Amino acid sequence: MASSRPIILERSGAAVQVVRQLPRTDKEAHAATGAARGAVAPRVPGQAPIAWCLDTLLGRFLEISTPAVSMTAAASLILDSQHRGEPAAWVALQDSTFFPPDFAACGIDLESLPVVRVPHLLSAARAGEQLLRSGGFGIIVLDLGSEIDMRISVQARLAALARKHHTALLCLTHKEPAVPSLGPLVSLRAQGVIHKTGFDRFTWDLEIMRDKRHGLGWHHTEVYRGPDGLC
Amino acid sequence: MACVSLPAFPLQLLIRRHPDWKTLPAAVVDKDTPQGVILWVNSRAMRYHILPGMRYAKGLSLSPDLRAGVIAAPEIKKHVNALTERLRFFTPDVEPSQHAPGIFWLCASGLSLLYPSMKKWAGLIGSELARGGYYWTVAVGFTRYGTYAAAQACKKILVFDSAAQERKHARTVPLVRLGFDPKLRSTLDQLGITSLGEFIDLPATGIRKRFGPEAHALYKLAKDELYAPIDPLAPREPFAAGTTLDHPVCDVARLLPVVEKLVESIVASLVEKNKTVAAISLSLTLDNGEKRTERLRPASSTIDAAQILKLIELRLQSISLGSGVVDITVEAEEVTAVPRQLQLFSQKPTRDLQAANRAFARLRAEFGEHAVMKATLRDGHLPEARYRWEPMEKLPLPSPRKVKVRSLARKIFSKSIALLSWSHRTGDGRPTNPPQYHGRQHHGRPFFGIEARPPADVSRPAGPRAGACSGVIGPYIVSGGWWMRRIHREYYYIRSTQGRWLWIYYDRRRRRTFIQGEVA
Repeated sequence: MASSRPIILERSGAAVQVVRQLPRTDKEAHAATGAARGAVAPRVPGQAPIAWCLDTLLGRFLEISTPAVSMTAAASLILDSQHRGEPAAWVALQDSTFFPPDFAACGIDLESLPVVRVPHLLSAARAGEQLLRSGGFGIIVLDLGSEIDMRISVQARLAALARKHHTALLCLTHKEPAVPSLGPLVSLRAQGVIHKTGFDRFTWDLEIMRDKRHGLGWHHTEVYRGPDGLC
Repeated sequence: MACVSLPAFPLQLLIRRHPDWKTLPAAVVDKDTPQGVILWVNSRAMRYHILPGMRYAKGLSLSPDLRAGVIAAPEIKKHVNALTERLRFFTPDVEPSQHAPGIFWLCASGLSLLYPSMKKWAGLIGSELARGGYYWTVAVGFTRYGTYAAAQACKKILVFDSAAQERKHARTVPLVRLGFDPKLRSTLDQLGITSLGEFIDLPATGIRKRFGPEAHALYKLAKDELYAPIDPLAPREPFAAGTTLDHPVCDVARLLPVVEKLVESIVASLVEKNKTVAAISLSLTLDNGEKRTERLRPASSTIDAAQILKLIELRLQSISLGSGVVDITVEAEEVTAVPRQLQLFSQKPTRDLQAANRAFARLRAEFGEHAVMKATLRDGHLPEARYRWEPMEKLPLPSPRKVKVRSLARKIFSKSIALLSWSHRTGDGRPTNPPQYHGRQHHGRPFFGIEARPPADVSRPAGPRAGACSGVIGPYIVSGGWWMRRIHREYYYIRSTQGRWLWIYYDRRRRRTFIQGEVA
């Protein structure tokens, strides 16, 4: 991440876009590789800019409701958690999971990423609860797919445990934007899309549809390279 | 003393695992890759001149029907231990060989009151092994090496009446049967020494200098100059407790106090012997005669009865007790207790890893032994061959890498989903399947919508409905497997109008298109 330098503010419509001024060498390196991270600051000046990172999301019940950027966004948080020295865990239903070589290519340590495979949503909630209760994880991802019918009592328990143990609980679901979130206890809901912006460069953009702490109007953008074969 | 020999033991285990390979050339290899080395072969493979020491790929070139598999050392040890227990039925002292799996020495003294003759005793041992599906030979004699040599060369049972008879017979055993080092055997063969008798007739001085210390040790063993009594494997003392209930009980809450008393008594006996519980086996007999056995492992070996009881409770809640439990037995697998190690303060993690490990134990108790896994990368061409799932026992501190540019992650389906149909119109409007491209990207007409074939099992979710397509990238070809089963896949990335990137492939062998996963 860039060192602290004066922040240049650029007004862009209703939102304020913040771009960190990078040291020359970093900026040139980022320009060469195409990797750039952008965050959108809240309207209140003086408050730290919000980004899709663990600092912003610890202790919260989160949902990404489109399949388009779910794996990549989750991988970003898992890597963040591992860099902080906090383990991450993944709970998946039996029919699909992340592609491990891609996670390894991002730098994630697969040896310390436990994956719990369960048959259905209720088991996933039970597994998530056991992992949350231990307090041993910085982030737990529940990959629920199109199973989106989680009882409010279960959500309440999970949200309370996430808050108590200061763990981010991220649910990945597949649903249309118009379909409501898992429930009222979801603290942040996002959806995203991936655009091809260069020969081997893809921009994934996460739009925040609900954020109980920071309000709407921010999104997160990063530029990554494509996986093997996609360029 | 008796020697029981199960020749080519790893090969016998392989055939037990794959009974249909009995009529085919079969081999045990050290790893299941074309460069794997063949360790054991059966007689059918030998007919094709496939020999131990060859590469698997070479064996396949000699016989395309060659079947091979890996038998890992822990599996061999497990079967050796099981056979040792079975042989203890016939004599209390059983010594499995440390160097050659499948060789056992048994003490045959003092059995005359139990068995009418040694031949009868050997026959009963053989029958027991045959019931287990093993090929066996037994030689009863007076010396360790003499009985070993006789067991390698005899058909089924050989009983010597005197030590002299045993020595005389041992001299006639060919060296090729005795597992000599191939180089040593080749050297001796060049000298015209092909039997054990000719080998032990060599002058003692010079054996070590000419043939090496191993040959010298074998020489002394064969001449019975290295006397070693049987060193039996000590029988494992089970730490178990059980009880029979007066009435069948279905309710877990009523079973737990009973189980608690059994667990506490076992833990108390383990503590006295400075041991801890590594795993617990819970055997339940139901009222209808059904028997169920559940095995549970705590996160680490422990003497905390409450922790063990919690795991048992989770497992009992996840299974159906049917007609009610009438008999319970709890047995512990023990390990010697080790003193708690000091933790380095500089490595103290921010999260409690022990608590995470205890959570894993509870998950295993609730969802099964393979509930908590980790991905391990492998070398492979196909996406599904580039990793495998292995059980995760304990959670280590994470050590991620720093990468300059991160890449997008993909989702992969556990089983590829067949596409109902997709097609692309060429410049003249004709649909083609698979699509033809000029260059790597298509900027032409839109495709028909992608719709995945719904699975036959309606409980499984259907494949993605991604809508119409607006772009395709590909193909990139993955082809190989000529040594086993030819594979040819053409991979594409399909971008839908909804912004999703599907990862699909056309399988030339099956002539169908499948969805491998999605860029997410």
